[in-house]
Amino acid sequence: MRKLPTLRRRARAGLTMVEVLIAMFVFLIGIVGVMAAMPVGIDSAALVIFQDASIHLSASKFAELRRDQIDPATDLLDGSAYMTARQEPLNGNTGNYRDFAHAAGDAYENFGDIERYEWKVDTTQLKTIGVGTDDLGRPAPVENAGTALPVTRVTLDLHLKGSKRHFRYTQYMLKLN
Amino acid sequence: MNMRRGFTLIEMMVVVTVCLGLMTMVVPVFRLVTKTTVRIERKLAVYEAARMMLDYYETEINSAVYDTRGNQFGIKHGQFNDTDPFTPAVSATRYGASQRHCGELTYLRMPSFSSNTTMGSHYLNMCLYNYTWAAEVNLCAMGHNALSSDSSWPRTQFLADVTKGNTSGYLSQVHWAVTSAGHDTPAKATCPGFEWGSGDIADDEAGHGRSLPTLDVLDFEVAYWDDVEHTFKNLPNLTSAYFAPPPKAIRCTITVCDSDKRETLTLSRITRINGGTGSGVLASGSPDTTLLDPSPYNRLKNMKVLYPWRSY
Repeated sequence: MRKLPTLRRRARAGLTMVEVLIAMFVFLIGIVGVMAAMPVGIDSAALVIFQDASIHLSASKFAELRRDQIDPATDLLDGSAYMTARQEPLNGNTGNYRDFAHAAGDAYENFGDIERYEWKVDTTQLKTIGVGTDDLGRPAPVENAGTALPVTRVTLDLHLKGSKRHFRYTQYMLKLN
Repeated sequence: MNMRRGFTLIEMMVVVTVCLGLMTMVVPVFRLVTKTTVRIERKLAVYEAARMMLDYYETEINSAVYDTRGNQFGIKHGQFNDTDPFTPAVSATRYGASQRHCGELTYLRMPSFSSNTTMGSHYLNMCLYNYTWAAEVNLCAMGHNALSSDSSWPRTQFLADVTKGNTSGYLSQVHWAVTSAGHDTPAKATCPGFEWGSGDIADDEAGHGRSLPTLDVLDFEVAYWDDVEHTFKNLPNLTSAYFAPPPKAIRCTITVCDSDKRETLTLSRITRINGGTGSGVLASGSPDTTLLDPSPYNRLKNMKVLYPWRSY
């Protein structure tokens, strides 16, 4: 009887330990890949929560500004009497941010995770269209270069501390008094 | 022949050991990720619920109107200890513990449908022009159901299971006309206690009510802005106050939880009152126990005396 070649016999013998280990390694790579995608979903959800909280806080802060009948063109500048006396002080973090006051009796004392958020405000007083010149020296309209209007674009910048996340919310405010 | 028999015991043990090692590493991470995902989903749910509620209240408050007397913007407040084991015992934490804070807002709104407004009559709504008693307006209330409970709607069911608590609203179109005492005055008609449902101030011809069911809310509390002390203030327990003119701003604070009672969230929203010019300062002294005398506005009212049918 003719003896079968050794290689053929080996192929029928089943998987070697090395093959099983390689298969498990590939399986592990797959699992790790799937799990690596999960934090991305969690991160997206955390972003939604930040945006949700920011909507509340922005709406509240704008309500405060309207309640106090400020002149947005001057009262919202850092160092103004209004910002000094009626709004939270600068918290010392980079970017001239302020915390939301949340000690007992403060306006934001009952807001979940409020200590994670900080805010600042930027303003631009709108102007009428001015007159300038184009490349050929002819008169041409120039946006926001004329006389000042009693309208200010107010942008609240909410920042999640320790992250690069910002939420910007803009409203146009009139001087009320 | 030897190769056909499969794995040796040693091989199997090595593979099983390696497999166990991998599982030991992977399973805790997987559990952590799953747990975090579930927690995030619950948080998203409560944030969404809170935002919907506060957006809704802000919209409602912005639709409120007043006449020259400031009629009518009222706040009520009561607090009750719940019996639900989900909530921890009353502690220094104002919300989320076993004490339920229950508030209510009352305000006037232009009716969406009115015979006066739709037929082009010169009879305009009282809240805008106060020269006729034949006025139609929506008297509205939005608040926590545990506060407005009565014998047919017992408070205990909301306190035994906090997910049964919610806020709800009621809009009632009322038409002040001839009463048993003749033509009543809007001042009396909208004064504290003479709210919708009091038959002696409004006839039923235009008394079309509409319920506004809203979402589950454990706490709903309304603070008013004191423009002298520059702070938001809560009313004392079981009192109400009617402001004329309304305060400049209010702050609604709510606590919501998910349906599985695992996650709670407390958020607040400051809302400026359109036309609110009042100082928000209430008269000192004990809460009134009468409706009209002395002046019903800007004073604390004792709800236990004024609304005994609610069994406070």
